[in-house]
Amino acid sequence: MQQKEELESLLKTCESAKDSVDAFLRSINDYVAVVEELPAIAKPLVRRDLESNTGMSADEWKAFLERLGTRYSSIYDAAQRVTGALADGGDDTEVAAATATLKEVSAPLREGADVAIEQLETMAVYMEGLPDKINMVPEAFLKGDSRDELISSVPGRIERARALKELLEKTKGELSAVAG
Amino acid sequence: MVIYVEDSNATISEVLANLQQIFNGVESLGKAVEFGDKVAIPIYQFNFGTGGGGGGGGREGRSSSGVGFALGGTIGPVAVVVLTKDVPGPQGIQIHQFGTNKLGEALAELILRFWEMIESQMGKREKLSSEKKEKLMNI
Repeated sequence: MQQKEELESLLKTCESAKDSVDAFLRSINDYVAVVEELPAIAKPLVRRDLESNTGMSADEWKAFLERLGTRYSSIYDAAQRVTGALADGGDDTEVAAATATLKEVSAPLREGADVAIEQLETMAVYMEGLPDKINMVPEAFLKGDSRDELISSVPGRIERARALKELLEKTKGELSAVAG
Repeated sequence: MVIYVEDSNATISEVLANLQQIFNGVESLGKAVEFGDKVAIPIYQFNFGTGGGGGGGGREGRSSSGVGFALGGTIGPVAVVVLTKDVPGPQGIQIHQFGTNKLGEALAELILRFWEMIESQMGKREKLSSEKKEKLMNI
């Protein structure tokens, strides 16, 4: 009974996390689009700034988020199979096989969750400091419109990074309970 | 700039030579841009070229002749001098020279240095280890 509840909770978290990953991925794509519109001289700066402060370029962030989204889908499918096996009468062999699959597909996420949580916080902190940093750039290098556009897109990204971070923390706990 | 003269004589070539000598390679300081403890001063170079020609003709009793010459020039940034306010002497002066076909790269490099200065003021973060990055990319 408890396992079913834990699985239900995990399934809900996976659904929310998939949405959260998609939203964050969209915001990274929006960020890339804003950067692409910057004057040629400011573009490499902003690109390099993201990489030197978060340890990952925009492309790496996109690759990581795409992978995370796929991982959540795999975990969701595997958790559903465990739920299905339990609902079918709780055949021990079937439940054990489905649980083993869940354990297997969730292993990379459990291994990388702490680093991902740390990285998402790093991204949130980076984004928090970005407006001040942008405002320190002289007008000669970054015009008013580009500056405003860059700054106005920041708050949403901070929220999305922190929301995904919380969901990863939750997933990590739930996976330990369900898949050991 | 185009100058027309009524008559050709030996002094024109002298004037041209003198103008070319005066203007060619002249460097000028641009408006200083101040950021934090640094001041950047662009240096511009003027390059002048000249050309001229003359001719004569007309009808009997109404001969005419004339000559014309022209001056043309380009102005472009060739370098940026960066002065660090609190560093006395030559150590506080950096000159970033632009290659003629690498102007963009040189400007980007200059601004990158400026950006790094901002980063140092804001507190730069530690690099992400390759081990951690691998975990993220395989998540």
